[in-house]
Amino acid sequence: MPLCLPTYVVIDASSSMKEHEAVLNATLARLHYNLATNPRVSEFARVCVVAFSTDVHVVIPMSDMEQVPAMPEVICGGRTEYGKTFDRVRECIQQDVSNLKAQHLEVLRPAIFFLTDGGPTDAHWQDPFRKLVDRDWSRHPHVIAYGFGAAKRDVLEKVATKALFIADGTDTESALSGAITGLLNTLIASSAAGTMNIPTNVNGFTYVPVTQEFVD
Amino acid sequence: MTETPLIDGADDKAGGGDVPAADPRGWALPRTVSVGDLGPLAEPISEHNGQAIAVKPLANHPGWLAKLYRPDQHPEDAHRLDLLISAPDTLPEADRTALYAGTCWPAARIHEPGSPAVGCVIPMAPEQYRAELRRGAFSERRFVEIDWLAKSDESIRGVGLPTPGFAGRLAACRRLTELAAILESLGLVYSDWSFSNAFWSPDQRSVYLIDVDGCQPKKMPDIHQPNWADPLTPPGTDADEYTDRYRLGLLVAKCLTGQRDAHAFHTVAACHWQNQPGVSEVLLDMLLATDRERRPSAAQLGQALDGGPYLRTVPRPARTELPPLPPVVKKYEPAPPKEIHTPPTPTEKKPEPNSHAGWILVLVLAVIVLLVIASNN
Repeated sequence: MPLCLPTYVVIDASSSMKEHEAVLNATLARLHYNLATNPRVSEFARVCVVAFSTDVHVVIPMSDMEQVPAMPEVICGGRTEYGKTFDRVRECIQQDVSNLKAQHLEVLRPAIFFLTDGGPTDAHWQDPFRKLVDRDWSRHPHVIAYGFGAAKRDVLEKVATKALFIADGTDTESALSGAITGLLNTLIASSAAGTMNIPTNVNGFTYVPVTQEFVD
Repeated sequence: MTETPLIDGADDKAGGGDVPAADPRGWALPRTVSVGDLGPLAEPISEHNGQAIAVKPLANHPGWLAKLYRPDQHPEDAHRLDLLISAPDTLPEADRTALYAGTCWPAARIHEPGSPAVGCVIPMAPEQYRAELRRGAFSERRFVEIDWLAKSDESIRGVGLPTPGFAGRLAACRRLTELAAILESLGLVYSDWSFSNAFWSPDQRSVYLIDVDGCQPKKMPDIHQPNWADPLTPPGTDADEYTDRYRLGLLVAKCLTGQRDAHAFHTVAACHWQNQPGVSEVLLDMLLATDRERRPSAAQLGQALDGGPYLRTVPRPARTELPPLPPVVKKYEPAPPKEIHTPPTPTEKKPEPNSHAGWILVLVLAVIVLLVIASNN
């Protein structure tokens, strides 16, 4: 059975990202191009794009990106609500993994790429997060976090379960580009290896080893 | 095709002490060179890929690359590389030409004091294997991996490449199989047959095999690639010519049909290509034989692709069942651009079509028919 990595690109689209909106959309379009023109990566890494602010929006439902004609545009604004986001992603995983299995795919543990430029504005985000990564839930995902701008390292150290990348003072737009390149390289390396494989050398970011790593 | 034994070329000799013919590809230096002999190396075009730590163009030898291995290479690798480099000398002219034209066959072993095989010199893939891949507002010129041939013509058109049609697919598969048959005739195992190790030229309908410097005589560690596992080569055992036959069959089945999953098997089983009547049966035996040693050879597949019969000296192998087909997946339908703070606009309700309109039309037609019949009587 073909292998498949359910991949969630979860992007902070709050008001602090407003001034970088054009770059964010261009970066997402570049991600789409690179996936859509690499058949074996898009076949392996089925991708769902989620944008979050005050509300959570599934921009692209779980898809083979080659089948997606273009990346919809994201418009930024609002608060940075982590809790709702984790709840929504958990729902997506539950549904998507079932759908992928029904397609006779061998489904690997899902991977969430969490990109944020700020800390959570909701106080009770930790409960939904614990529920998302609860090891007793058989579909619990790996979380790879990229923090830039005003992202809070201590928060992201709690969120990242597999790898954490903190921008080393580079501007937000370069950081966005670096994060998406890192994400893409992870998908390319993982598709070649058939298992999660995260290159730790990401332009503009410092790799922070994660202590809370799960055993596959 | 008869098996041609490999000849040791470590001392720049081919066989009985003869000086090897000059490399027809234009490699000017000997078959063993030191790093210093190569002159300056340009910036790497690839790093940390497989067994190579870097692949660097040779500034003084345009069109040639130094592929530098990780330092953990086995000392006997030097001997193996020498065998590979001299192997084409033993081939008939046509096979040698095909091998040089269709692979990045190594031209020289690179050594350093204390390290007999720090890498090898290989030719750069010809420019014809690059193309502009377009999608949306983006476009990039890059090598076209054979991965694309295992997609539908519609998908290939979607990135701006010329569509191959069956003729283009067949031509590319013939070239692939020809190369596989040459490797098999040399007694070499490649193991690395997959989407990422061959380039495809949609214009020339040709293919170009890369990473062939990893070939080994008779058997080698099985290079694991997701979705290319031979079900009859257990994990941890070596890959051999029979593993190669399975992977070649899989690659050809996918490229010929433009399908990637179990559909490729079913399409091969259902297709009886009129001008290549043997292909379906050869491919199914390569893919589904229960006895791995009775998988047809690359040469048998090549003959079938050329329109010949499925010639065999042993009875047909028993086969396993075709793999189950995955269910049909609903195609992605794009939603309108997502604006995070725009409330969804209520959808306009379409007026119900008038259900009586169809009956009135039928009635009118019936009256006309009756009038025509009446007037004829």
